[in-house]
Amino acid sequence: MSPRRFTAGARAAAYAGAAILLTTFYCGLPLALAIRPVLRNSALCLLVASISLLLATVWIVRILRRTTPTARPVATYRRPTSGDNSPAPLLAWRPVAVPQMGFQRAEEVADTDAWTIPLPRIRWSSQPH
Amino acid sequence: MLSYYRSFIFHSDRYRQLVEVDTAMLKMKAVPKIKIQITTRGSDGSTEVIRRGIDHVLSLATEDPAFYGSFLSVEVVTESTEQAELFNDRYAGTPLSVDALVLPASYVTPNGTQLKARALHYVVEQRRRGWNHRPGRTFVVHYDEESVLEPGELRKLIALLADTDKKILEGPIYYPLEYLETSILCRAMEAIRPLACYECRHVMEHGVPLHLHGSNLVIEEEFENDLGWDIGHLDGQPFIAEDYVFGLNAFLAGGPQAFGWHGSVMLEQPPFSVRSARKQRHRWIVGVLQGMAMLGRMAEFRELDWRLRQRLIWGTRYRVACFALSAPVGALSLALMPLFLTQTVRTLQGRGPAPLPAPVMAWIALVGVMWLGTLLIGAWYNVAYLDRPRSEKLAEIGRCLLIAPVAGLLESTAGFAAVIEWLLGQRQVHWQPTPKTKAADSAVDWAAGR
Repeated sequence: MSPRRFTAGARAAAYAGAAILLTTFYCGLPLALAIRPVLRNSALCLLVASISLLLATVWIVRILRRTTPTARPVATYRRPTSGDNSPAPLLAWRPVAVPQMGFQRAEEVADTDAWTIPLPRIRWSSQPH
Repeated sequence: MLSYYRSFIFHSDRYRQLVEVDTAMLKMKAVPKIKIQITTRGSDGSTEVIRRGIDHVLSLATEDPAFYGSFLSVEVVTESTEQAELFNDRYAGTPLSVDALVLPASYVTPNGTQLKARALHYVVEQRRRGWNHRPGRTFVVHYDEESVLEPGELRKLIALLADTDKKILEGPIYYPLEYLETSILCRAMEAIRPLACYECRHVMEHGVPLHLHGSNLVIEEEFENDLGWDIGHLDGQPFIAEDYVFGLNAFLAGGPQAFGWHGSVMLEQPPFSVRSARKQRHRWIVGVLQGMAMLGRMAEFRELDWRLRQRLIWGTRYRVACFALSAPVGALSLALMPLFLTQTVRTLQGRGPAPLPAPVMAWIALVGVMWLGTLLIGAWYNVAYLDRPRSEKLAEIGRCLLIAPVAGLLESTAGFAAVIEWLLGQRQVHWQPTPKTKAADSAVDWAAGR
Protein backbone atom coordinates (compact mmCIF):
# COMPACT_ATOMS: atom_id res chain seq x y z
CA MET A 1 0.00 0.00 0.00
CA SER A 2 1.35 3.42 -0.93
CA PRO A 3 1.99 5.93 1.88
CA ARG A 4 -0.65 8.21 0.39
CA ARG A 5 -3.32 5.54 0.47
CA PHE A 6 -2.24 4.50 3.96
CA THR A 7 -2.59 8.08 5.19
CA ALA A 8 -6.00 8.42 3.55
CA GLY A 9 -7.09 5.12 5.09
CA ALA A 10 -5.83 6.12 8.53
CA ARG A 11 -7.65 9.45 8.27
CA ALA A 12 -10.85 7.71 7.28
CA ALA A 13 -10.48 5.28 10.18
CA ALA A 14 -9.87 8.16 12.60
CA TYR A 15 -12.97 10.02 11.44
CA ALA A 16 -15.06 6.86 11.47
CA GLY A 17 -13.86 6.12 15.01
CA ALA A 18 -14.69 9.62 16.17
CA ALA A 19 -18.12 9.41 14.53
CA ILE A 20 -18.77 6.12 16.34
CA LEU A 21 -17.78 7.80 19.61
CA LEU A 22 -20.21 10.64 18.92
CA THR A 23 -22.96 8.13 18.12
CA THR A 24 -22.21 6.37 21.38
CA PHE A 25 -22.60 9.61 23.31
CA TYR A 26 -25.80 10.70 21.62
CA CYS A 27 -27.51 7.35 21.10
CA GLY A 28 -25.69 4.41 22.70
CA LEU A 29 -25.52 5.61 26.28
CA PRO A 30 -29.12 6.91 26.41
CA LEU A 31 -30.32 3.63 24.92
CA ALA A 32 -28.31 1.62 27.43
CA LEU A 33 -29.86 3.60 30.27
CA ALA A 34 -33.33 3.22 28.79
CA ILE A 35 -33.12 -0.57 28.88
CA ARG A 36 -31.27 -0.79 32.20
CA PRO A 37 -34.45 -1.07 34.32
CA VAL A 38 -35.30 -4.20 32.29
CA LEU A 39 -31.90 -5.88 31.96
CA ARG A 40 -30.40 -4.62 35.25
CA ASN A 41 -26.85 -5.26 34.06
CA SER A 42 -24.85 -2.32 32.70
CA ALA A 43 -22.46 -4.39 30.59
CA LEU A 44 -25.35 -6.26 29.01
CA CYS A 45 -27.18 -2.98 28.41
CA LEU A 46 -24.17 -1.51 26.63
CA LEU A 47 -23.81 -4.65 24.54
CA VAL A 48 -27.47 -4.65 23.53
CA ALA A 49 -27.34 -0.90 22.75
CA SER A 50 -24.19 -1.34 20.64
CA ILE A 51 -25.67 -4.23 18.69
CA SER A 52 -28.91 -2.31 18.14
CA LEU A 53 -27.04 0.70 16.77
CA LEU A 54 -24.89 -1.50 14.59
CA LEU A 55 -27.98 -3.21 13.16
CA ALA A 56 -29.65 0.16 12.57
CA THR A 57 -26.56 1.36 10.72
CA VAL A 58 -26.37 -1.78 8.62
CA TRP A 59 -30.05 -1.42 7.78
CA ILE A 60 -29.61 2.20 6.71
CA VAL A 61 -26.53 1.36 4.62
CA ARG A 62 -28.41 -1.46 2.88
CA ILE A 63 -31.11 0.96 1.81
CA LEU A 64 -28.47 3.49 0.76
CA ARG A 65 -26.72 0.92 -1.39
CA ARG A 66 -30.01 -0.07 -2.96
CA THR A 67 -30.88 3.50 -3.82
CA THR A 68 -27.44 4.39 -5.17
CA PRO A 69 -27.13 3.22 -8.78
CA THR A 70 -24.79 0.28 -9.11
CA ALA A 71 -23.21 1.43 -12.33
CA ARG A 72 -23.29 4.89 -13.68
CA PRO A 73 -21.06 7.23 -15.60
CA VAL A 74 -19.13 9.64 -13.44
CA ALA A 75 -18.90 13.22 -14.53
CA THR A 76 -15.61 14.83 -13.69
CA TYR A 77 -16.22 18.48 -13.24
CA ARG A 78 -13.56 21.00 -13.85
CA ARG A 79 -14.33 23.91 -11.61
CA PRO A 80 -15.26 26.89 -13.76
CA THR A 81 -13.41 30.07 -12.97
CA SER A 82 -14.19 33.63 -13.79
CA GLY A 83 -12.48 34.99 -16.87
CA ASP A 84 -11.87 31.51 -18.13
CA ASN A 85 -10.45 31.60 -21.63
CA SER A 86 -9.71 27.93 -21.90
CA PRO A 87 -11.81 25.47 -23.86
CA ALA A 88 -15.13 24.52 -22.38
CA PRO A 89 -14.95 21.79 -19.80
CA LEU A 90 -14.90 18.38 -21.32
CA LEU A 91 -17.20 15.96 -19.68
CA ALA A 92 -15.22 12.87 -19.02
CA TRP A 93 -17.46 9.90 -18.55
CA ARG A 94 -16.08 6.72 -17.22
CA PRO A 95 -17.81 3.41 -16.67
CA VAL A 96 -17.28 2.61 -13.03
CA ALA A 97 -17.14 -0.78 -11.38
CA VAL A 98 -19.89 -1.63 -8.93
CA PRO A 99 -18.63 -0.35 -5.62
CA GLN A 100 -18.81 -2.56 -2.58
CA MET A 101 -20.31 0.06 -0.28
CA GLY A 102 -22.10 2.09 -2.86
CA PHE A 103 -19.02 4.19 -3.47
CA GLN A 104 -17.36 4.67 -6.80
CA ARG A 105 -13.84 3.44 -6.97
CA ALA A 106 -12.86 5.77 -9.71
CA GLU A 107 -9.16 5.56 -8.88
CA GLU A 108 -9.21 1.93 -9.91
CA VAL A 109 -10.51 2.70 -13.35
CA ALA A 110 -7.73 2.83 -15.89
CA ASP A 111 -7.40 6.07 -17.81
CA THR A 112 -7.71 4.14 -21.05
CA ASP A 113 -11.32 3.43 -20.10
CA ALA A 114 -12.12 7.10 -20.18
CA TRP A 115 -13.80 8.70 -23.13
CA THR A 116 -14.73 12.25 -23.61
CA ILE A 117 -17.38 14.20 -25.39
CA PRO A 118 -15.82 17.18 -27.11
CA LEU A 119 -17.87 20.30 -26.78
CA PRO A 120 -17.64 23.53 -28.74
CA ARG A 121 -14.97 25.94 -27.70
CA ILE A 122 -15.91 29.24 -26.18
CA ARG A 123 -13.83 32.27 -25.52
CA TRP A 124 -14.87 34.49 -22.66
CA SER A 125 -14.39 38.02 -23.81
CA SER A 126 -15.94 39.51 -20.70
CA GLN A 127 -18.07 38.61 -17.75
CA PRO A 128 -21.70 39.61 -17.22
CA HIS A 129 -22.68 42.04 -14.55
CA MET B 1 -38.38 13.20 11.14
CA LEU B 2 -40.43 10.06 11.60
CA SER B 3 -42.17 10.77 8.31
CA TYR B 4 -38.79 11.08 6.58
CA TYR B 5 -37.84 7.66 7.87
CA ARG B 6 -41.19 6.16 7.03
CA SER B 7 -40.60 7.14 3.43
CA PHE B 8 -36.93 6.07 3.56
CA ILE B 9 -37.57 2.65 5.06
CA PHE B 10 -40.83 1.61 3.46
CA HIS B 11 -40.90 3.43 0.12
CA SER B 12 -37.25 3.83 -0.89
CA ASP B 13 -37.97 1.92 -4.10
CA ARG B 14 -40.14 4.82 -5.27
CA TYR B 15 -37.62 7.50 -4.32
CA ARG B 16 -35.52 7.49 -7.46
CA GLN B 17 -35.48 5.78 -10.81
CA LEU B 18 -32.77 3.15 -10.82
CA VAL B 19 -33.43 1.41 -14.12
CA GLU B 20 -31.23 2.87 -16.83
CA VAL B 21 -32.97 4.26 -19.90
CA ASP B 22 -31.19 4.46 -23.23
CA THR B 23 -31.93 6.41 -26.38
CA ALA B 24 -33.36 3.35 -28.17
CA MET B 25 -35.93 2.93 -25.40
CA LEU B 26 -36.88 6.60 -25.63
CA LYS B 27 -37.37 6.34 -29.36
CA MET B 28 -40.11 3.80 -28.80
CA LYS B 29 -42.06 6.28 -26.69
CA ALA B 30 -44.14 9.30 -27.61
CA VAL B 31 -41.82 11.71 -25.88
CA PRO B 32 -43.19 15.14 -25.00
CA LYS B 33 -41.43 18.40 -25.78
CA ILE B 34 -39.11 19.39 -22.96
CA LYS B 35 -37.92 22.90 -22.19
CA ILE B 36 -35.23 23.30 -19.59
CA GLN B 37 -35.68 26.71 -18.03
CA ILE B 38 -32.87 28.38 -16.12
CA THR B 39 -33.90 31.57 -14.36
CA THR B 40 -31.11 33.86 -13.20
CA ARG B 41 -30.43 37.43 -12.21
CA GLY B 42 -27.20 37.20 -14.16
CA SER B 43 -25.08 38.08 -11.15
CA ASP B 44 -21.37 37.30 -10.75
CA GLY B 45 -20.55 33.62 -10.90
CA SER B 46 -23.86 32.60 -12.45
CA THR B 47 -22.57 32.33 -16.05
CA GLU B 48 -20.07 29.62 -15.28
CA VAL B 49 -22.44 27.40 -13.39
CA ILE B 50 -25.26 27.84 -15.90
CA ARG B 51 -22.82 26.87 -18.64
CA ARG B 52 -22.01 23.69 -16.74
CA GLY B 53 -25.70 22.77 -16.52
CA ILE B 54 -26.35 23.41 -20.21
CA ASP B 55 -23.20 21.51 -21.22
CA HIS B 56 -24.60 18.42 -19.55
CA VAL B 57 -27.82 18.73 -21.50
CA LEU B 58 -25.75 19.23 -24.62
CA SER B 59 -23.79 16.09 -23.90
CA LEU B 60 -27.07 14.18 -23.99
CA ALA B 61 -28.13 15.90 -27.21
CA THR B 62 -24.85 14.92 -28.89
CA GLU B 63 -25.71 11.25 -28.37
CA ASP B 64 -28.35 11.56 -31.08
CA PRO B 65 -28.60 15.16 -32.28
CA ALA B 66 -31.58 14.62 -34.60
CA PHE B 67 -33.66 12.81 -32.00
CA TYR B 68 -32.93 14.95 -28.95
CA GLY B 69 -32.85 18.15 -30.95
CA SER B 70 -36.43 17.48 -32.02
CA PHE B 71 -37.93 17.84 -28.55
CA LEU B 72 -35.29 19.10 -26.11
CA SER B 73 -34.40 22.77 -25.68
CA VAL B 74 -33.00 25.17 -23.11
CA GLU B 75 -34.30 28.60 -22.21
CA VAL B 76 -32.27 30.98 -20.07
CA VAL B 77 -34.05 33.94 -18.55
CA THR B 78 -31.64 36.56 -17.33
CA GLU B 79 -31.51 40.21 -16.35
CA SER B 80 -28.12 40.57 -18.06
CA THR B 81 -28.09 41.38 -21.78
CA GLU B 82 -24.43 40.46 -21.99
CA GLN B 83 -25.03 37.09 -20.43
CA ALA B 84 -27.86 36.39 -22.85
CA GLU B 85 -25.60 37.22 -25.80
CA LEU B 86 -22.90 34.94 -24.44
CA PHE B 87 -25.26 32.00 -24.24
CA ASN B 88 -26.83 32.66 -27.63
CA ASP B 89 -23.38 32.83 -29.23
CA ARG B 90 -21.94 29.85 -27.44
CA TYR B 91 -24.65 27.39 -28.28
CA ALA B 92 -25.39 28.57 -31.82
CA GLY B 93 -24.84 25.69 -34.20
CA THR B 94 -24.96 23.00 -31.52
CA PRO B 95 -27.55 20.19 -31.61
CA LEU B 96 -29.34 21.88 -28.75
CA SER B 97 -31.63 24.85 -29.13
CA VAL B 98 -30.60 27.38 -26.46
CA ASP B 99 -32.53 30.65 -26.24
CA ALA B 100 -31.63 33.37 -23.82
CA LEU B 101 -34.35 35.82 -22.97
CA VAL B 102 -33.57 39.15 -21.34
CA LEU B 103 -35.93 40.37 -18.67
CA PRO B 104 -36.46 44.08 -19.35
CA ALA B 105 -35.63 46.28 -16.39
CA SER B 106 -38.90 48.12 -16.91
CA TYR B 107 -41.07 45.00 -16.85
CA VAL B 108 -43.86 45.06 -14.29
CA THR B 109 -46.36 42.25 -13.74
CA PRO B 110 -50.07 43.08 -13.36
CA ASN B 111 -49.92 42.18 -9.64
CA GLY B 112 -46.60 43.87 -8.98
CA THR B 113 -44.73 40.61 -8.40
CA GLN B 114 -41.02 41.05 -7.73
CA LEU B 115 -37.80 39.03 -7.50
CA LYS B 116 -37.55 35.64 -9.15
CA ALA B 117 -41.29 35.19 -9.68
CA ARG B 118 -41.26 38.35 -11.79
CA ALA B 119 -38.80 36.75 -14.20
CA LEU B 120 -40.74 33.49 -14.17
CA HIS B 121 -43.95 35.31 -14.99
CA TYR B 122 -42.27 37.25 -17.79
CA VAL B 123 -41.45 33.95 -19.49
CA VAL B 124 -45.01 32.76 -19.01
CA GLU B 125 -46.29 35.92 -20.67
CA GLN B 126 -43.90 35.43 -23.59
CA ARG B 127 -45.01 31.82 -23.98
CA ARG B 128 -48.65 32.82 -23.88
CA ARG B 129 -47.83 35.08 -26.83
CA GLY B 130 -46.28 32.16 -28.68
CA TRP B 131 -42.56 32.55 -27.87
CA ASN B 132 -40.75 29.28 -28.56
CA HIS B 133 -44.06 27.54 -29.04
CA ARG B 134 -43.80 23.87 -29.84
CA PRO B 135 -46.84 21.82 -30.75
CA GLY B 136 -47.87 18.93 -28.55
CA ARG B 137 -47.60 18.28 -24.83
CA THR B 138 -44.72 20.23 -23.37
CA PHE B 139 -43.03 20.17 -19.97
CA VAL B 140 -40.88 22.87 -18.45
CA VAL B 141 -38.02 21.58 -16.29
CA HIS B 142 -36.99 24.30 -13.84
CA TYR B 143 -33.32 24.59 -12.97
CA ASP B 144 -31.56 26.77 -10.45
CA GLU B 145 -28.45 28.47 -11.80
CA GLU B 146 -26.12 25.70 -10.67
CA SER B 147 -28.38 22.72 -11.36
CA VAL B 148 -27.06 19.74 -13.30
CA LEU B 149 -29.02 16.78 -14.63
CA GLU B 150 -26.63 14.12 -15.85
CA PRO B 151 -27.57 12.62 -19.21
CA GLY B 152 -28.63 9.33 -17.63
CA GLU B 153 -30.99 11.07 -15.23
CA LEU B 154 -32.34 13.25 -17.99
CA ARG B 155 -33.16 10.18 -20.08
CA LYS B 156 -35.02 8.68 -17.12
CA LEU B 157 -36.93 11.91 -16.70
CA ILE B 158 -37.88 12.01 -20.37
CA ALA B 159 -39.09 8.41 -20.22
CA LEU B 160 -41.24 9.14 -17.21
CA LEU B 161 -42.71 12.31 -18.68
CA ALA B 162 -43.70 10.38 -21.79
CA ASP B 163 -46.07 8.29 -19.70
CA THR B 164 -47.25 10.56 -16.91
CA ASP B 165 -50.59 12.27 -16.55
CA LYS B 166 -49.31 14.54 -13.76
CA LYS B 167 -48.95 18.26 -14.25
CA ILE B 168 -46.38 19.17 -11.61
CA LEU B 169 -43.59 16.84 -10.56
CA GLU B 170 -40.44 16.94 -8.48
CA GLY B 171 -37.39 14.80 -7.93
CA PRO B 172 -34.57 14.48 -5.40
CA ILE B 173 -31.62 16.87 -5.21
CA TYR B 174 -28.11 15.99 -4.02
CA TYR B 175 -25.32 18.47 -3.35
CA PRO B 176 -21.99 17.15 -4.67
CA LEU B 177 -20.98 20.00 -6.97
CA GLU B 178 -18.10 22.21 -5.86
CA TYR B 179 -18.38 20.09 -2.74
CA LEU B 180 -14.83 20.20 -1.46
CA GLU B 181 -14.57 23.92 -2.18
CA THR B 182 -17.23 24.73 0.43
CA SER B 183 -17.02 25.01 4.19
CA ILE B 184 -17.31 21.73 6.12
CA LEU B 185 -20.10 23.35 8.13
CA CYS B 186 -22.05 23.97 4.90
CA ARG B 187 -21.43 20.40 3.78
CA ALA B 188 -22.81 19.10 7.07
CA MET B 189 -25.85 21.37 6.69
CA GLU B 190 -26.47 20.07 3.16
CA ALA B 191 -26.24 16.50 4.45
CA ILE B 192 -29.60 17.01 6.13
CA ARG B 193 -31.34 17.70 2.83
CA PRO B 194 -31.33 14.46 0.81
CA LEU B 195 -33.37 12.66 3.48
CA ALA B 196 -35.81 15.56 3.48
CA CYS B 197 -36.35 14.77 -0.20
CA TYR B 198 -37.76 11.42 0.88
CA GLU B 199 -40.55 13.42 2.42
CA CYS B 200 -40.79 15.50 -0.76
CA ARG B 201 -41.69 12.26 -2.51
CA HIS B 202 -44.41 11.55 0.01
CA VAL B 203 -45.73 15.10 -0.23
CA MET B 204 -45.75 15.11 -4.02
CA GLU B 205 -47.33 11.68 -4.35
CA HIS B 206 -50.05 12.64 -1.91
CA GLY B 207 -50.54 16.04 -3.50
CA VAL B 208 -50.48 18.17 -0.36
CA PRO B 209 -47.74 20.75 -0.91
CA LEU B 210 -46.34 21.27 2.59
CA HIS B 211 -43.26 22.41 0.72
CA LEU B 212 -42.00 22.59 -2.84
CA HIS B 213 -38.53 23.34 -4.13
CA GLY B 214 -38.09 25.50 -7.18
CA SER B 215 -35.47 23.37 -8.91
CA ASN B 216 -35.90 19.86 -10.23
CA LEU B 217 -39.47 21.05 -10.55
CA VAL B 218 -41.22 19.93 -13.73
CA ILE B 219 -44.45 21.63 -14.78
CA GLU B 220 -46.66 20.97 -17.75
CA GLU B 221 -46.33 24.11 -19.86
CA GLU B 222 -50.06 24.57 -20.40
CA PHE B 223 -50.70 24.28 -16.67
CA GLU B 224 -47.92 26.76 -15.88
CA ASN B 225 -49.24 29.16 -18.50
CA ASP B 226 -52.74 28.94 -17.03
CA LEU B 227 -51.49 29.54 -13.53
CA GLY B 228 -48.63 31.99 -14.11
CA TRP B 229 -46.20 33.23 -11.49
CA ASP B 230 -47.82 36.57 -10.87
CA ILE B 231 -48.16 35.89 -7.17
CA GLY B 232 -48.21 39.55 -6.16
CA HIS B 233 -46.89 40.59 -2.78
CA LEU B 234 -47.77 40.44 0.87
CA ASP B 235 -48.48 43.86 2.37
CA GLY B 236 -46.01 45.43 -0.03
CA GLN B 237 -43.27 42.89 0.61
CA PRO B 238 -42.28 40.55 -2.23
CA PHE B 239 -42.66 36.81 -1.78
CA ILE B 240 -39.24 35.22 -1.38
CA ALA B 241 -40.36 31.60 -1.60
CA GLU B 242 -42.14 31.79 -4.94
CA ASP B 243 -41.89 28.01 -5.35
CA TYR B 244 -43.89 27.36 -2.18
CA VAL B 245 -46.51 29.95 -3.13
CA PHE B 246 -46.73 28.49 -6.64
CA GLY B 247 -47.22 25.03 -5.12
CA LEU B 248 -50.12 26.28 -3.05
CA ASN B 249 -51.69 27.95 -6.10
CA ALA B 250 -51.18 24.77 -8.13
CA PHE B 251 -52.88 22.79 -5.39
CA LEU B 252 -55.86 25.12 -5.34
CA ALA B 253 -56.12 25.06 -9.15
CA GLY B 254 -55.25 21.46 -9.98
CA GLY B 255 -55.97 19.55 -6.77
CA PRO B 256 -53.83 16.76 -5.33
CA GLN B 257 -54.07 14.65 -8.49
CA ALA B 258 -51.94 17.19 -10.39
CA PHE B 259 -48.87 16.40 -8.26
CA GLY B 260 -46.36 13.63 -8.88
CA TRP B 261 -42.79 12.46 -8.28
CA HIS B 262 -40.37 11.84 -11.11
CA GLY B 263 -37.39 10.43 -9.19
CA SER B 264 -34.60 11.75 -11.44
CA VAL B 265 -31.73 13.11 -9.39
CA MET B 266 -30.58 16.69 -9.85
CA LEU B 267 -27.14 17.76 -8.66
CA GLU B 268 -26.49 21.11 -7.04
CA GLN B 269 -23.88 22.70 -4.82
CA PRO B 270 -23.81 23.68 -1.16
CA PRO B 271 -23.46 27.37 -0.26
CA PHE B 272 -19.79 28.32 -0.02
CA SER B 273 -19.89 30.04 3.35
CA VAL B 274 -21.78 29.67 6.59
CA ARG B 275 -23.12 33.18 6.12
CA SER B 276 -24.62 32.30 2.73
CA ALA B 277 -26.10 29.10 4.15
CA ARG B 278 -27.68 30.91 7.08
CA LYS B 279 -29.12 33.59 4.82
CA GLN B 280 -30.58 30.86 2.65
CA ARG B 281 -32.24 29.12 5.60
CA HIS B 282 -33.57 32.40 6.94
CA ARG B 283 -35.08 33.09 3.53
CA TRP B 284 -36.78 29.69 3.37
CA ILE B 285 -38.51 30.16 6.70
CA VAL B 286 -39.64 33.72 6.00
CA GLY B 287 -40.83 32.60 2.56
CA VAL B 288 -42.95 29.81 3.99
CA LEU B 289 -44.40 32.11 6.67
CA GLN B 290 -45.30 34.59 3.94
CA GLY B 291 -46.98 31.83 1.93
CA MET B 292 -49.03 30.72 4.91
CA ALA B 293 -50.12 34.28 5.60
CA MET B 294 -51.19 34.61 1.97
CA LEU B 295 -53.07 31.33 2.12
CA GLY B 296 -55.15 32.47 5.07
CA ARG B 297 -56.40 35.43 3.04
CA MET B 298 -57.42 33.47 -0.05
CA ALA B 299 -61.10 32.81 -0.67
CA GLU B 300 -60.27 29.59 -2.58
CA PHE B 301 -58.43 28.28 0.44
CA ARG B 302 -61.31 29.00 2.79
CA GLU B 303 -63.58 26.99 0.51
CA LEU B 304 -61.49 23.84 1.00
CA ASP B 305 -62.50 21.06 3.34
CA TRP B 306 -61.76 22.03 6.98
CA ARG B 307 -59.61 18.97 7.61
CA LEU B 308 -57.51 19.61 4.52
CA ARG B 309 -57.01 23.23 5.52
CA GLN B 310 -55.85 22.21 8.98
CA ARG B 311 -53.50 19.66 7.48
CA LEU B 312 -51.94 22.24 5.21
CA ILE B 313 -51.64 24.93 7.86
CA TRP B 314 -50.65 22.84 10.86
CA GLY B 315 -48.43 20.52 8.85
CA THR B 316 -46.41 23.52 7.69
CA ARG B 317 -46.46 25.20 11.10
CA TYR B 318 -45.20 22.01 12.66
CA ARG B 319 -42.32 21.80 10.19
CA VAL B 320 -41.35 25.43 10.74
CA ALA B 321 -41.58 25.02 14.52
CA CYS B 322 -39.39 21.88 14.44
CA PHE B 323 -36.77 23.69 12.40
CA ALA B 324 -36.75 26.78 14.61
CA LEU B 325 -36.95 24.96 17.93
CA SER B 326 -33.94 22.86 17.02
CA ALA B 327 -31.93 25.94 17.98
CA PRO B 328 -32.74 26.08 21.71
CA VAL B 329 -32.83 22.28 21.91
CA GLY B 330 -29.43 21.99 20.21
CA ALA B 331 -27.90 24.71 22.39
CA LEU B 332 -29.28 23.07 25.51
CA SER B 333 -28.01 19.67 24.46
CA LEU B 334 -24.50 21.01 23.80
CA ALA B 335 -24.46 22.82 27.13
CA LEU B 336 -25.77 19.92 29.18
CA MET B 337 -23.90 17.16 27.36
CA PRO B 338 -20.90 16.96 29.76
CA LEU B 339 -23.17 16.80 32.78
CA PHE B 340 -25.46 14.31 31.11
CA LEU B 341 -22.57 12.06 30.09
CA THR B 342 -21.01 12.12 33.53
CA GLN B 343 -24.28 11.21 35.16
CA THR B 344 -24.96 8.48 32.59
CA VAL B 345 -21.58 6.84 33.17
CA ARG B 346 -22.07 7.01 36.94
CA THR B 347 -25.46 5.35 36.58
CA LEU B 348 -24.04 2.57 34.44
CA GLN B 349 -21.37 2.04 37.09
CA GLY B 350 -24.14 1.71 39.68
CA ARG B 351 -23.05 4.89 41.49
CA GLY B 352 -26.14 7.02 41.15
CA PRO B 353 -29.65 7.36 39.76
CA ALA B 354 -30.37 7.80 36.04
CA PRO B 355 -30.38 11.46 34.97
CA LEU B 356 -33.80 11.05 33.35
CA PRO B 357 -36.60 8.44 33.41
CA ALA B 358 -36.14 5.42 31.10
CA PRO B 359 -38.86 6.43 28.57
CA VAL B 360 -37.23 9.85 28.17
CA MET B 361 -33.83 8.19 27.68
CA ALA B 362 -35.37 5.93 25.02
CA TRP B 363 -36.82 8.98 23.29
CA ILE B 364 -33.44 10.77 23.39
CA ALA B 365 -31.76 7.69 21.91
CA LEU B 366 -34.38 7.47 19.14
CA VAL B 367 -34.05 11.16 18.25
CA GLY B 368 -30.25 10.81 18.29
CA VAL B 369 -30.33 7.82 15.96
CA MET B 370 -32.67 9.55 13.53
CA TRP B 371 -30.68 12.78 13.59
CA LEU B 372 -27.27 11.21 13.04
CA GLY B 373 -28.83 8.75 10.58
CA THR B 374 -30.08 11.73 8.57
CA LEU B 375 -26.53 13.04 8.37
CA LEU B 376 -25.21 9.63 7.33
CA ILE B 377 -27.82 9.29 4.60
CA GLY B 378 -27.34 12.79 3.21
CA ALA B 379 -23.55 12.71 3.34
CA TRP B 380 -23.56 9.30 1.64
CA TYR B 381 -25.69 10.53 -1.25
CA ASN B 382 -23.71 13.75 -1.59
CA VAL B 383 -20.28 12.12 -1.62
CA ALA B 384 -21.42 9.24 -3.84
CA TYR B 385 -21.10 11.66 -6.77
CA LEU B 386 -17.56 12.78 -5.93
CA ASP B 387 -14.77 11.41 -8.03
CA ARG B 388 -12.64 10.66 -4.98
CA PRO B 389 -11.21 7.52 -3.39
CA ARG B 390 -13.46 5.57 -1.09
CA SER B 391 -11.34 6.33 1.96
CA GLU B 392 -11.79 10.06 1.37
CA LYS B 393 -15.52 9.60 1.04
CA LEU B 394 -15.66 7.67 4.29
CA ALA B 395 -13.60 10.35 6.00
CA GLU B 396 -15.97 13.00 4.66
CA ILE B 397 -19.02 11.18 6.02
CA GLY B 398 -17.27 10.96 9.39
CA ARG B 399 -16.44 14.67 9.28
CA CYS B 400 -20.06 15.58 8.54
CA LEU B 401 -21.25 13.51 11.49
CA LEU B 402 -18.67 15.02 13.82
CA ILE B 403 -19.46 18.60 12.94
CA ALA B 404 -23.23 18.00 12.95
CA PRO B 405 -23.94 19.38 16.46
CA VAL B 406 -22.36 22.72 15.55
CA ALA B 407 -23.67 22.82 11.97
CA GLY B 408 -27.18 21.97 13.14
CA LEU B 409 -27.07 24.75 15.69
CA LEU B 410 -25.86 27.32 13.16
CA GLU B 411 -28.56 26.29 10.72
CA SER B 412 -31.44 26.21 13.15
CA THR B 413 -30.56 29.54 14.77
CA ALA B 414 -31.13 31.14 11.36
CA GLY B 415 -34.61 29.59 11.26
CA PHE B 416 -35.23 30.52 14.88
CA ALA B 417 -34.27 34.14 14.20
CA ALA B 418 -36.60 34.20 11.17
CA VAL B 419 -39.56 32.98 13.24
CA ILE B 420 -38.87 35.40 16.10
CA GLU B 421 -38.55 38.33 13.69
CA TRP B 422 -41.81 37.30 12.02
CA LEU B 423 -43.63 37.04 15.35
CA LEU B 424 -42.30 40.47 16.34
CA GLY B 425 -43.74 41.91 13.16
CA GLN B 426 -40.42 42.49 11.37
CA ARG B 427 -41.56 41.39 7.93
CA GLN B 428 -39.39 43.35 5.57
CA VAL B 429 -37.62 40.97 3.23
CA HIS B 430 -34.34 41.31 1.41
CA TRP B 431 -33.07 38.83 -1.06
CA GLN B 432 -29.59 38.08 -2.25
CA PRO B 433 -29.29 34.96 -4.42
CA THR B 434 -26.89 32.43 -2.91
CA PRO B 435 -23.52 33.09 -4.61
CA LYS B 436 -22.51 30.33 -7.00
CA THR B 437 -18.74 30.63 -6.97
CA LYS B 438 -16.30 31.09 -4.15
CA ALA B 439 -15.13 34.40 -5.57
CA ALA B 440 -18.71 35.67 -5.86
CA ASP B 441 -19.40 34.55 -2.31
CA SER B 442 -16.42 36.46 -0.98
CA ALA B 443 -17.44 39.57 -2.88
CA VAL B 444 -21.02 39.78 -1.61
CA ASP B 445 -21.86 42.80 0.47
CA TRP B 446 -24.60 41.33 2.64
CA ALA B 447 -25.28 44.62 4.37
CA ALA B 448 -26.17 46.24 1.04
CA GLY B 449 -29.42 44.30 0.77
CA ARG B 450 -30.75 45.57 4.07
